[in-house]
Amino acid sequence: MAAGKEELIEKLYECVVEMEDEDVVDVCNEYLEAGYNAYDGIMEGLVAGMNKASELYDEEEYFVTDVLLCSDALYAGLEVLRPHLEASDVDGEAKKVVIGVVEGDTHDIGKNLVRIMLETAGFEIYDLGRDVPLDAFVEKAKEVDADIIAMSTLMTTTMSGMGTVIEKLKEAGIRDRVKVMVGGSPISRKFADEIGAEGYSVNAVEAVAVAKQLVGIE
Amino acid sequence: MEPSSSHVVSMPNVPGICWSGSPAEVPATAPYYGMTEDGADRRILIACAMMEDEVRCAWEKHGRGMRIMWVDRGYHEKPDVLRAKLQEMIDEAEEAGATQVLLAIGLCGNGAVGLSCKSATLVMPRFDDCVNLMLQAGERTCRGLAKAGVMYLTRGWAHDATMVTGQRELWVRKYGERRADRLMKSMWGAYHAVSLIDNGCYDLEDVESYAQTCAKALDVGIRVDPGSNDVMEKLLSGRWDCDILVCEPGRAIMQEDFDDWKEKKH
Ligand code: B12
Repeated sequence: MAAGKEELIEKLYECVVEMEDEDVVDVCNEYLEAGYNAYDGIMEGLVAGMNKASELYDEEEYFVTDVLLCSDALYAGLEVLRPHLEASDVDGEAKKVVIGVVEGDTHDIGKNLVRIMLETAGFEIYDLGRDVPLDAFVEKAKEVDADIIAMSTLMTTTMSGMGTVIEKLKEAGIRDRVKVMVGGSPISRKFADEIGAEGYSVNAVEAVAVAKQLVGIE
Repeated sequence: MEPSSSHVVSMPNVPGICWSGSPAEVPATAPYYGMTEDGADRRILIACAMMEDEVRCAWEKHGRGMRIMWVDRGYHEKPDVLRAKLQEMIDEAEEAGATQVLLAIGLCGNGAVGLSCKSATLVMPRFDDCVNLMLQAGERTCRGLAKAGVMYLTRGWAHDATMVTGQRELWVRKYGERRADRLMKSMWGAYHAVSLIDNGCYDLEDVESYAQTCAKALDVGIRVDPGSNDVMEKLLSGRWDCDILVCEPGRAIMQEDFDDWKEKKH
C-alpha cells in the first residue's frame, strides 16, 4: 500500500533537515506517483525542512556546512516537484529579484540561503553571484525590470557599496521603480535606514516575509 | 627613548583624538602615555594571537614594559563571542589597574562594537580586520586594501585551524567524499590567488610550504603583497594619528568610527 500524504511530507521534511540530497529524489518520486499535490510537498515538506535547518543554525545546533548541504537536498527535491506545479499554485506573474554580494566581497553563503528561500517562495531570481560590480545591480535591474534588488555583504569594508548602488539607481532614474533590501551579519536596520533601503532582515526566513511585503504580496 | 619617571600622563584633548600631523611630527617626548605619576606602566595590551608576530615586533620597539593579554585566534569566526570575550578581558585589565587599554585587533565583523572602558582610555586601530591593517603602510588611504578572491596569509593566519588544508579531511570524515568536495567548491571556490603579506615581522620561508599546500588545494597561484607594521607600531608607541581610534572612559566603540570619513574629506 502506498504511503499516506502526511507521512511522505514528513519524509521530505526529514530529507532536507538530514541533508539527504539523494534520498529526497526517491521520496519526491514516490510522492508524485501516489498522485499528491506538488505544491504541498514543496511548502510543507521541503521548505518547512529548510526553515527548520535555518532555525537549527540560528540556535548553533548546525554548522554553516550543514545548512549548505540541507539546501542541496532542498534543490534536489525542487527539481523533481517543481515541474508538477499547477497553474493555480502560482498566483499571477512572478515578481523579479536581482540578488548578489556587493563588490569586494566573496562571502556568499548567506546570499545563497536568501536566494533559495526567495526562489521557493515563488520569486523569479536573477543571481549575479559574488563580488558583483555595483553598476551591474543597476544594469540588471533595468534589463529585467526588477521589482527588488537584494544585496548581501559580510564585510564592513564593503557595506558602503550598498549605499552607492542606491545612489546609482537614483542617477539612472529608476529608484522609484525598484525596492531595495539589504542583509548580511554587519548590516543593521539602522544602516538600512541610513542608506535608504526599504527592506532588511536578520535571516533568510524573514527575508521572504520582507520581500513579499515590499511587493505587496499577502 | 627611555620613559622618565617624572613624566605625568597627559592626553591630547581633541575629540576622538586625532593628531593633526603625520606620526613623524609628533614630538619625540610625547609617546609614553601609559605612565602614571609613580612611574609605573599602566598600559595593558589585549592582542589577537592571529597577529602575534606583528605585536611582538612592535612591542620590542615600542612596548617593553607593557603587559600583553592574548586573545585566541579562533574567535574571528564568531563576532558576538569575540565581543563578549574582549569586554571580559578589558574589565580584567581595568581591575588590574590599567589606565590605558590598547586593543591589537580589527573591527572584525563588529566584534569590537560596543566595547568600552569604565575608567581607562580604550585605544584601537581604525581598521576593519587584521588583513587590511597589515597591508597598510603609512596612513590609511582607503577603507580596505584587501582584494576579493585573495586568500591572505601571514605566519599567524597559517596557524588558523579552520583554513583550507585541514577542512577537506574534516568534512570527509563528517559528510563523506562527495559532499566534502561539493563543500570545498562552495566555500573556497571564489579564490584566484594565495597571497603572503610581507610585513617584515616573520620569515616568509616559514609559511611557504603551507602557502603551497593551500594554493594546490585551491588550484591557484601564490604571490607576495607588500605589507607593513606601521599601524601596530603607531598603536604601541602612542603616536596616535587618525588611524588610531581613542575612546575616553565610558565611550563605546561604534561601527561608524571605522567609516572612511577622513579619506572622503580630502
Ligand atoms: C565563512 C567565512 C569565510 C569563508 C567564506 C565562504 C563563502 N563561500 O562564503 C572563507 C573561509 C572563504 C572566508 C574568507 C575570508 N574572510 Co571570512 N568569514 C567567514 C565567517 C566566519 C562566517 C560568514 C558566514 O558564512 N556566515 C553564515 C551565513 C549563513 O550568515 P550570513 O552571511 O550573515 O547570512 C544570514 C543573514 O545575514 C541574512 N542575510 C545575508 N545576506 C542577506 C541579504 C539580504 C538581502 C537579506 C535580507 C538578508 C541577508 O540571511 C542569512 C541566512 O540567515 C565570518 C565571520 C562572521 N561570523 O561573520 C568571516 C568574516 C566575514 N571574514 C573575514 C575575513 C577578513 C576574510 C578574509 C579576508 C580572510 C583572509 N585571510 O583572506 C577572506 C576573504 C574574503 C573576501 N575578500 O571576499 C572578516 C571580515 C572583516 C571585514 N572586513 O568586515 C570576518 C567578519 C571575520 C572576522 N571576524 O574578521 N570567510
